[in-house]
Amino acid sequence: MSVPRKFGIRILLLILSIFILSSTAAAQNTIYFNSKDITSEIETVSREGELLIKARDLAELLDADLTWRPALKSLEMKSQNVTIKIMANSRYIQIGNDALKTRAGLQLVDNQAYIPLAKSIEAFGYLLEYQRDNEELYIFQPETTINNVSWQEDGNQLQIKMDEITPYRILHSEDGREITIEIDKAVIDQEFSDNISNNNYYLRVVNVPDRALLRLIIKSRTPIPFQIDGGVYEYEDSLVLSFLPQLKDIRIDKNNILKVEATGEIPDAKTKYISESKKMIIDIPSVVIGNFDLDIENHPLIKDIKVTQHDLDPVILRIEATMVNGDIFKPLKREKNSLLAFKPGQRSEITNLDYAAGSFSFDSSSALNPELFLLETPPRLVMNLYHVNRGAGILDKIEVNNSLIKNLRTARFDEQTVRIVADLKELTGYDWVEEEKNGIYHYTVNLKNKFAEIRTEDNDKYQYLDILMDSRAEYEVKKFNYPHRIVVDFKNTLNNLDEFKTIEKTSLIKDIRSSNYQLEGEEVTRLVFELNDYYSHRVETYQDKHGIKIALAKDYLNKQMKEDREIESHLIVVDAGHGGFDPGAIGMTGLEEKVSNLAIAREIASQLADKDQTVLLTRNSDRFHSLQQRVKFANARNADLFVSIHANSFNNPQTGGVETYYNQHENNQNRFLAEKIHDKLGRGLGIYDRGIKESNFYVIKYTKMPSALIEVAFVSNPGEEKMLQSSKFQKKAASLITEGILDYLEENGGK
Amino acid sequence: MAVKKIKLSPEQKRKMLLVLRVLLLTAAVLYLLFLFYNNYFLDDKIKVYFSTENANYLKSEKRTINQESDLYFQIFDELKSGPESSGLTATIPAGSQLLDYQIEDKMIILNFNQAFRDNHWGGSTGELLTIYSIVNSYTSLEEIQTVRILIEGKEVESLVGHLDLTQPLMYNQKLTEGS
Repeated sequence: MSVPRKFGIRILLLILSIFILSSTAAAQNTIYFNSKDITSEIETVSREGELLIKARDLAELLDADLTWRPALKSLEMKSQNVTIKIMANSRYIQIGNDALKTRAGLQLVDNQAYIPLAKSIEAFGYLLEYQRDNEELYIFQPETTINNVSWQEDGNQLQIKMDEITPYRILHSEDGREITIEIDKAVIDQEFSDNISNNNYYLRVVNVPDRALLRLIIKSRTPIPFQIDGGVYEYEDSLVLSFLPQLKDIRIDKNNILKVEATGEIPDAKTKYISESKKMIIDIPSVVIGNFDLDIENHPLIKDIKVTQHDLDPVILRIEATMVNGDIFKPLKREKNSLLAFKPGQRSEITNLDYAAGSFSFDSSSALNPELFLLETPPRLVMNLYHVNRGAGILDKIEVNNSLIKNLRTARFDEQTVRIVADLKELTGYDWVEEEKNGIYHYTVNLKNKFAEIRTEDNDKYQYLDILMDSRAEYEVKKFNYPHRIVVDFKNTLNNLDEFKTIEKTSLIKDIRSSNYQLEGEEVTRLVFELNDYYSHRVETYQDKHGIKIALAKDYLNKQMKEDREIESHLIVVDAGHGGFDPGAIGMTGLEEKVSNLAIAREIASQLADKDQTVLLTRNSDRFHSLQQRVKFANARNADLFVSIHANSFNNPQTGGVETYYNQHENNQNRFLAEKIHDKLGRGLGIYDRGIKESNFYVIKYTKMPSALIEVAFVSNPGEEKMLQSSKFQKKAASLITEGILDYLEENGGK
Repeated sequence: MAVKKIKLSPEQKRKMLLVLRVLLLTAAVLYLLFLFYNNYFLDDKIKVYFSTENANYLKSEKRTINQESDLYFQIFDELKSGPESSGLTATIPAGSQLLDYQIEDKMIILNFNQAFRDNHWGGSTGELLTIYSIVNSYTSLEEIQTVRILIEGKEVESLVGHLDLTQPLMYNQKLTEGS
């Protein structure tokens, strides 16, 4: 009876001791060496708050030679070119001529030497990273060395040269005066000296020893302009940060030339004059206020100069000069691209007064602030121009006699003002635009166009929509589906459709509507023809673009017609999602999303190329690119279209299907593109149709061209994972997406 | 057919009236209870959002505020523990931790650990539902209008490669089923 009891107690003790042992083991750190968990392979002890490793284990780990001199109680470890020495009862680790202080130093435990893990591994040039409240310790070999940090381009570019670009982040402080560049797993070259600050920026390199990264901190007195897609790019093995040039100097020389100088290239500035307050305003884009000299005091021409950072997005520097007696400063031809010069006393001159149907235009030697108004009897449009002279060839009167304008007259109205008068046939709306080219400002005044006639026509093959305008039309024809309709947008056009009798509808046209709305800041008059089905259409113009004729084919667009369709060549960027160290979602049997994304993207590229489209892939191999880099890739090349290919995932293996995402933009092109693509995928791919969705995904939000993101299928759904792996399914998805893209291009013409 | 008028005896009439009175009284009591409940109990509840099983929408469940613990940590704990009803799915990956938070002018900055990203299953749908289940839960609070998400104190482009996390996020109405 007593034996089993004793046995029982023993078992209990054993269980208890196992429990105690295992719980102490759990309290120990987990240590990873180059991402491998080595906790069980090494022996460690904790002394004086420092983690010590058995010297032999460390030597094995680093493949180092270990020498123990019992007489001196000293230990020497040599790995590659680094030798460290440590003695019992000393807290210092000696590396060459340097010594590194530790807390515990060398300790003997059971006749074995234990040395501080973190410090000695650091001495050998490894990087450490603590995670999860110091419970996990990661040891890495540095992946890159920063060889040099230098200012280029007159201090407007910072080049960080390194062996290889590792993941990095750019962070900026809230007030914008500090930028931090964090580079993972990087060490700085030992030769590097930290004296690279310049006039405007203070720069410091900070090693973050326990997070395996290096920080470069740039500080400035004024906010450092840094936009989401601006500033950083990778050049060979360098990271290059571009800073906007800063204002350096404003002065007026002995010839009374006003000079504005910056530390780098100044784009052309825009000047404006406000005659009442005798002010000249110079707006300089992409220049930042810095430490600048201003040496204008009690000048006979200029009373006061004020400099402000007018805007940061986009960056605009504003110089506001108050003149003593209302002189005009005219921009001089540029000699240096970092210098703007203005010459006083010059009035601008207007030349080349010209007219066309519904518009007139002229050139000016500097920017003007024209004032326009209509007068009723007789109907005329008056334009006042201040501080100008009439140049050679500007006549007092030009007889025009076109559909809207009878005559153009010019006259000096008073000392300050030249007046241009357009005698009109009848009062109508107007607007004016300014274009600048080589320092010459070109002004165009557009009188509003009007509809003269709208008719429908019918023959065997086609029905025609015929729109005739008073003058040359600025228009765009678009076709939409569900409901099927043809839309014609007219710019600068008066909606006088009320004057017409109802327009006769034909068998293909259900309804005709019109509306006015704002498109990209311009007023647009829209005519909508509701169709009873999908028809292919063709647009022709006649009478020197006064008339537009849209032919609707009565036959449905058939397959052959589709094969034969010719679509102008566009630049299309196809983005295979994820890549490199980012596998994307991973399926149950191990398919990595990045693999099928690339296969489908490549297939789309080849199919589109067959249709004479120019296609660029953001990646054509298994490489990582940040979302920002993908966006920049497309924006910098001014692509017409951007399509991102992904595979979906959810934490429920049953979820499956195809979906297409767009980002809502004002002009709806993103949605149209998504609709065209999903129209094909939803019906043709043969898996569940999860529909079109709107979302703020990075790559489709910041690309400037129409864009869509396609989640072809769920890699987290075992059935769909298998499909995504098959080249047949990949090809099918690619051809449906390609068809959708071509449909979109055919109807909307990109951009 | 002639309509037959039902004649009630006084006894029956009294009974009918009594039934009516009882019904009216019950209705009044219920109404009062409803008012009382709305005024005094609903304020103790928070909404936490979970994914519907088809991964198309977010739907909220109510939880009682635990007066002892921090409200903002509690919301994340509730999100992590998952839904009570069977038609919903949790959206937070295992091992996720809310390290700390900061509130600045109606914006809450949530700082998550690396596991929140590393253990995430990926996918646009996956990312969308995870992020907006968090955003919608926090922005249901009166004092929170937008949410910023950081990983280990760092600003990130996105969680798993889709959604733009460089900007503060607002309540997402479109994802919310039934509204």
